[in-house]
Amino acid sequence: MFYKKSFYKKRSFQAGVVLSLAAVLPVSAALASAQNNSIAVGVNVSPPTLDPTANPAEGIRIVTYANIFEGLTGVDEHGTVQPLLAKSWSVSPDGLLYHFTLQPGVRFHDGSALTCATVKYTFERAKAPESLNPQKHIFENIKTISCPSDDVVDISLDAPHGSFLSELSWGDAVIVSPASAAGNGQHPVGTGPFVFKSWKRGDSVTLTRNDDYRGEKAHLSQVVFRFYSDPMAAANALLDGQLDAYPSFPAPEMLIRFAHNPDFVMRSGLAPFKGILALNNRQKLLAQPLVRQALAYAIDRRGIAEVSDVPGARVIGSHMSPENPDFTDLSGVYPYNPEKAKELLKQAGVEPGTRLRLALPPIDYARNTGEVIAAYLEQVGLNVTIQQLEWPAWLAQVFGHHDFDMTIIAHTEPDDLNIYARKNYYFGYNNAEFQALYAAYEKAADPAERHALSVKMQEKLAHDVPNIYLFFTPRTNITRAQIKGMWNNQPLPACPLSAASWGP
Amino acid sequence: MLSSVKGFLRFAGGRLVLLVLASALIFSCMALLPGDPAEVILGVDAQPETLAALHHKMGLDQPFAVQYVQWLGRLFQGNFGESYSYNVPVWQLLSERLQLSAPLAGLALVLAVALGVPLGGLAAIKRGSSADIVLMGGIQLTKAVPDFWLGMVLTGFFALTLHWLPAGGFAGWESGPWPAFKSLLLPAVALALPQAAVLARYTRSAVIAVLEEPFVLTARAHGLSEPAVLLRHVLPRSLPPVLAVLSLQIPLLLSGTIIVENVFNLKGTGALLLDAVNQRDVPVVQICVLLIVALVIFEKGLSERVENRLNPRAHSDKEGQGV
Repeated sequence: MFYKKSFYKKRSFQAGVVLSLAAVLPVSAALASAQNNSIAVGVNVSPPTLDPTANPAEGIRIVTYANIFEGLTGVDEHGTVQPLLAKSWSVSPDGLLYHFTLQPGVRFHDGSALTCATVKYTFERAKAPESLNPQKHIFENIKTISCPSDDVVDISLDAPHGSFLSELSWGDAVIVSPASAAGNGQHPVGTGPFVFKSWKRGDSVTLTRNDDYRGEKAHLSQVVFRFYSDPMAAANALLDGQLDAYPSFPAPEMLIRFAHNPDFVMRSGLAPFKGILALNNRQKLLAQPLVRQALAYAIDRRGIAEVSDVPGARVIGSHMSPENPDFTDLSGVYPYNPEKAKELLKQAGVEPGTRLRLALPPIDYARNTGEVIAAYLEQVGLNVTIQQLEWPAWLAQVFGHHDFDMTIIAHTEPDDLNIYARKNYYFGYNNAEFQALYAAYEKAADPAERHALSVKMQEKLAHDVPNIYLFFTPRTNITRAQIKGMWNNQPLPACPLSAASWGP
Repeated sequence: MLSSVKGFLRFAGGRLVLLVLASALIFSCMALLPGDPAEVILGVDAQPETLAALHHKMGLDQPFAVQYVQWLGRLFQGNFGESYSYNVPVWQLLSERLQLSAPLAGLALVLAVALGVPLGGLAAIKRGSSADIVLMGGIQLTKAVPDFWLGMVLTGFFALTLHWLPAGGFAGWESGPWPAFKSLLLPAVALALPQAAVLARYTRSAVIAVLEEPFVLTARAHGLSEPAVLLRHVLPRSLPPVLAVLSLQIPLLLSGTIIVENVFNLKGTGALLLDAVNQRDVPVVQICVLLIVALVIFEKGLSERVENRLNPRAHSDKEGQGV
């Protein structure tokens, strides 16, 4: 999907300036990369370690997922679960027993072989009390793992868990070797199509092709991930030829520099991005459904989506982004209606001038939309105090101590409706009806039934508005025109490059 | 002899107490800041049990004072601690970053001195002339220009338009001295120009002050040539105030480069310290800030000693020990 040309029209003057710069650009650097068959990829977030099973950082997954590490299952660009280290599986009718058959002849980069024992070791390590696995709950439901033979894994669960196969495809569930697991943070050893070569902390990670890979080998002989904290420096690096690709380019206002440059292609892709105005449902005022509905009516979310300045941004009506197969459009449940909002507030007995705090994390979308949301709420008689917080302070105050009224944050995890069933989660939504729906969804194995339940949960949230669902923004991938085979969508944090190549 | 050993011990002891006090201050500041390093690592999906396990692993379940004393004890054994976020020894992180930051600061310093001192001296000698006015105007302008803006302009011209130099990033010493030097040149210029302007102003006023001293007249009366007067008599005596300014600039160049590092996407000590504060990576913040404090103390001692050499009449150190 390409951007519509019209988006750039109003900025044609700037485009002209950039064009004249672009005209003198030599392509020597890019051609050099193409000749030695390597690629340099720009990433916003620098990984703190390189072990996805012990740290939730997005940067770790971008570098390692499906490049260095692989799970029993994997996902394709559209988020559909696919066989990976397990070539096939079956599930018992009661949803309690999973029977996996492993790919034959899989070896780790250090030469050790993948067997059922490796899988058993991986999941038991993730489940252990001292484990720091960010998604420990996936493994806590595992009752036993048995190994009828080296290439067969039988996993029995305590309770049916319909998302199990899809969760096994996450970075948190990749298979690690007992020989190297302890050192994966600094020197990751996996089964994937690329081998870890070197890491300059904060600066770059270099991978090389795994020539012993079992299946189709990667096209590129070398991949360098470079980390950028400043979008301007990132844009310069692309134009300068130091970078060949930048998935999820962070600054929409700079895309103009690439829009009319024939050396680059921009593609828009989907990702599970849900920008929300999170409400503290424990707070006396916000615990009332009427007040939350009033807030939903008070904010012109179409306006907010436009302010975000990202082409393709759209309003969402529930905690689900459009790339999800279960997505149902509920953006029309509470259309912008300030009069209605005032009426509901009056009904709920909220005095004009009532104070609400809005805590903002140091993230562009939050800072950009915070003022606008405060202004909308003030128009219906509320008095909003904005509190700008840096990230650790936001985590401590909002997430840790639940000391907030409202905050703006984007949830980017795939399939995360479960957070509304967690009573002690930061926004504190505690609704028996939703919890029952979620329990049924977790138990269900039939895809049609799961879809129907997911839609029901989305509808429940859309009407109950524990949070105000604001917008979805697509991600923008910039690559050199010759590069093929990179993911446009990002169903989970990842940048798999085994299919990427220079040219046809 | 004995007194000089005693003097040295007193000197070193004083500096050590200063460093320990500084470390306690930094530790307290980090503890007072809201935020929990384990929370930062685990992010918004953290489960309470995982958080507790990480707290235990990092030793954060101990009282604050205990954490500090343990940290101090390890420091005296030469153990700088381990970074919370990177899980590697702090000295390793720091030495990786210093490979970039030390040469960058050095290069910027050399450029600043090589530009600032001669230009300031020239302006002083030609005081009141049109050359002085033009120079001082230029210096005033350069001083007012923010270094990050200068960095952006330099990148736009030399990297993106002329393609003489890379737009950012550090090539690394393993790619050879020339590519590494090339990737440091633009940021070094961006850092050096405003500093050179400051140096030039101080040099100018220092040289003017010395030129008005009676001994300069005496030297001229002795029939010394003008260059000899300037080099042998004026220059050495105008250096102390310039050195004092310089000694304040060196720690600034090592630590205060955060914005310039950002513009050029360089991962040096500035970026390390900034990230460490943002992630509440206390062991890294401690060592980085202590290093800066130690550098300032060392610098001060060094410049006092050089000053004493240049101007024996001034005894800034009453104990007369210097460093």
